[in-house]
Amino acid sequence: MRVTDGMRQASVLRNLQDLSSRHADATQRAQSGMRVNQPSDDPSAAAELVKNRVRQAKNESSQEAVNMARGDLELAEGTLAEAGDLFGRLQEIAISGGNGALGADERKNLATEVGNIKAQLVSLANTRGTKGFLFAGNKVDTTPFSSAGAFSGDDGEQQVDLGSGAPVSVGVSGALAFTAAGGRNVFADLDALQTALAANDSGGATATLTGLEASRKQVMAVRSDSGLKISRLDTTEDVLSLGKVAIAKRNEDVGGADPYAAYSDLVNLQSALEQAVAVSRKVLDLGSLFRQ
Amino acid sequence: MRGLVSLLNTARDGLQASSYALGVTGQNVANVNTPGYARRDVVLETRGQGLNGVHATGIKRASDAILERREYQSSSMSSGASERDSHLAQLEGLFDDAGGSGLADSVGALFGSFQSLASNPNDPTARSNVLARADVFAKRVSDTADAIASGRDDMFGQARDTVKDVNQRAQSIAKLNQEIARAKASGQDTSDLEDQRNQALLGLATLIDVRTVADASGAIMVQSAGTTLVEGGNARTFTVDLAPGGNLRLLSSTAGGSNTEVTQFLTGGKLAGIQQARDVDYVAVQTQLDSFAFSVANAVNTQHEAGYGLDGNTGRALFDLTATSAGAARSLRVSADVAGQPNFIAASSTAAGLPGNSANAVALSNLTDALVVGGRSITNAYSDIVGNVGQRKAAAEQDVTLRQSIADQVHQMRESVSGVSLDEEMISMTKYQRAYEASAKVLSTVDQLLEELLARLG
Repeated sequence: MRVTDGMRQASVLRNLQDLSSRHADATQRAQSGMRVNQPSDDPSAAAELVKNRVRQAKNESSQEAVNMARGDLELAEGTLAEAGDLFGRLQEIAISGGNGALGADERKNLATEVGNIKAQLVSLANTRGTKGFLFAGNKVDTTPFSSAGAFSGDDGEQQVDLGSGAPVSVGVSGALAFTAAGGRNVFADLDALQTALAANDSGGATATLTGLEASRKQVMAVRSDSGLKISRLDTTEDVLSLGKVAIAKRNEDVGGADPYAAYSDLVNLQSALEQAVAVSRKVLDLGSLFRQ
Repeated sequence: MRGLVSLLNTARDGLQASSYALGVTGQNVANVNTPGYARRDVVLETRGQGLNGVHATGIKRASDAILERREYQSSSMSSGASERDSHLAQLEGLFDDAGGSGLADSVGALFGSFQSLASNPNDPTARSNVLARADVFAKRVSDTADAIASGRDDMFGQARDTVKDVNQRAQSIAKLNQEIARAKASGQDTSDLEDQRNQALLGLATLIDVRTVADASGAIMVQSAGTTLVEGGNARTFTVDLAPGGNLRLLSSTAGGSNTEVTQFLTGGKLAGIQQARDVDYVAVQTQLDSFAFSVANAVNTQHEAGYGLDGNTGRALFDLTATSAGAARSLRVSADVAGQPNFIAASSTAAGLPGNSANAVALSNLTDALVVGGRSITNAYSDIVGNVGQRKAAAEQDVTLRQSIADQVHQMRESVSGVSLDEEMISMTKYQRAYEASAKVLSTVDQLLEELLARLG
């Protein structure tokens, strides 16, 4: 084949352009650590990376939802534990009040203490969390229990999306913990004790023990349910953490560049480019008969 | 037997022929880098019968008509592929999620805001966040659709400019055809004119597909987009406008003054690349984006309308939406019903459940996995768009590589025939220089002989 100066120049130019283009690609791979930097680098991998990006965002917001729900659940559990402790004292008062040796004034004092405990219990039942009143059901912005213990909340349980596709209940029901919806009206049991003590009725005070125990168990049952929900959140958080790692690993598998290969490519192409420039000088120096 | 005087004429012919050949060599050397220049070979012939010397009958342009035709075609295909690729690079840039564009982050943020709302349905910040994320999503979608539409508008402008260029070049080629035919008829050398025409044809081939047929007069008939563009000294004109559907329409003027549509016959050059990118690739992605935006907004609206705002009202849409998917992406925006009203975000599934019920917010959040876009989930549907754009761009890149490689190969073959080699020219120059010296020597020898003869004759 007849070779002309124009052919040599075009060949040199084409080779240098090709090498420069590959060098630029290799530089981007080495810098980003990713094999897929544009959708056209690997369309199916790019599509999966986009899906993983949305999944990762959902995973992160699920983790935020878990943290927020856990905060309120832990507060509810602690509050119910305090409420349970109050029942211990109430049972002691009921036993003391049933003691026939106790005088009317002493029973009256005990009745006053029961009134104070009731106020304390009402205060606990009206505890506020991050979303409003913890035990108000859906009526989070309404004080659920009056000072008399009348309930104005509902039995709605708050649900959240933790990424599983199914709603997860993270509410703690004040209705089930403190009202007849859970089996006993806790405040009515306190009222019965207070009334018996105020009336100096030792038998009546003793008779409230059964109801107080049932109320305590009712509060503790809801507390136990809160603990279970926290435990479920812990499991969910573990799953989300594993999911986060799995998505990151999948991204690496699908679109990541082998760092050693990327660096090696870059070095090789750098060297090839330098050699090509040197060879180009020599090639373009041909046609040298005119210089002889 | 020839006399000494006739030998003087032979030497003179040798000097003239060598001098002419040296001129041709000089011309080749001077044009070694001139685009489209085909090297010239001097044509030497003996003068008459017997020992009558030499004369240069002219010069021959080193060319191969078949290779030139193939170069027009390969250049045309390569140019079309490059043009489409460059437009697809712009389209790809709109869906480069890793690079900061694309919709993935805004989709994730929108549904993440529903998730946060579900965690705290009575929180004004969570409610405002839903509105803000919905606004970002709508703007991102409409900006992307706007960019696609602007790209199509720009390409229409480019197509008009390209057609103007095509028409000008066709006029130039027609004029050169006339000049070549005239020069040939009067026996003049047409090499320079043919170089110019070849260069003009190569330029035309980068704009539109070109097929050529030479006639006996030396003129070349040019066919583009399935119609005759140049015939002899006449050139037709192309115009471009938009068909009722918005696609490019290439029209060729006819002898009667009317126009014929030839868009479907367009196969190469920048114009074909623009047409392919604008009316095939961009339209396909735009349609997919419209369908995505329409389905997502529709699904969100349906769910949102089922819920209750903090004011106890229901039936409000979150997005304003067109009646059909056509143009849905460009017009997508947050509904005027809820804009600026965080309390109208419907997190609760019942009026009685207000303000703590979050069942509707949970349902909105779960839409990411629901099959609401033509049987695909929202996430999958968006990844389908990205995959589609990537596949189109990757295919275009491969096409560019292939077409460029073919064009380079054909160019090398033509260059091998027509290009100037300085080494060859150096050898030719030496050859003709020696011939000139030898002819001069003949002249000198004959002169000496004549001098001797005249001296003896006294």
